[in-house]
Amino acid sequence: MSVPLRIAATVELVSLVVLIANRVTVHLDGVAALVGPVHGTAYLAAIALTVARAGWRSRAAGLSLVPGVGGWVAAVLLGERPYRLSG
Amino acid sequence: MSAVLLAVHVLVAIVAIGPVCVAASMFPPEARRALGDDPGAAARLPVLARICRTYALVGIAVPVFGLATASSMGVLTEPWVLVSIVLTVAAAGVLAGMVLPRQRVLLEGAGPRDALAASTGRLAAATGVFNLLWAVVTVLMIVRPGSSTGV
Repeated sequence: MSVPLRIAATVELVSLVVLIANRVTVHLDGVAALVGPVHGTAYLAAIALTVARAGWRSRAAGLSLVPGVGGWVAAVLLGERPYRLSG
Repeated sequence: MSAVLLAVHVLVAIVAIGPVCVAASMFPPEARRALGDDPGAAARLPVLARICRTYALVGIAVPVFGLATASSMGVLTEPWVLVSIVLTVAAAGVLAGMVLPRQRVLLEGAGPRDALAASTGRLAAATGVFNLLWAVVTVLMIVRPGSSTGV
């Protein structure tokens, strides 16, 4: 069980949802400027964690490149337990 | 917003890249001691490797927030930024492609002892190149040759 991958995958997805929600509603520049790099970091971290565990040529690594949900797909493929806030 | 992005960029650079430089530099001599049957060194080796792996991951935020900062400041196409980007990509390649895999091989400790001892030298060289690249990027961030914004 890789807690870092679950965290990275969750941040990747939530930050993308925030970015899209911001774009279609209030459109605050500050939100986009701050959440954008957070999303980028989480996206790259999820790919790095997946590659470190499964290797470059693995199916999980390929799918981890998908924006937004890639980290989650990789986490599920690598046998992660679903992330629940209630623990 | 530039100030916030720059603050995050510099903070993560200090907190994440600093430990990687120190722990990665300590790894080869500790590995040599561990190969010389020093149990203390053998116990410290996984900790150093873990620091390198963990903070390399956190360090991903440094170039990402750096790009955001440069974009926000409108300096993304200035020569010192472009050179820094190239050197940072090279440093990341050395870390992910040479330093961390060679550390893992030494941690597993499989193979003849002579070959492992020789690989500590190659690991030390790769680590030195990584540290040098980061030092050059850090100096570029301060000196900013060709900058239109002044120092």
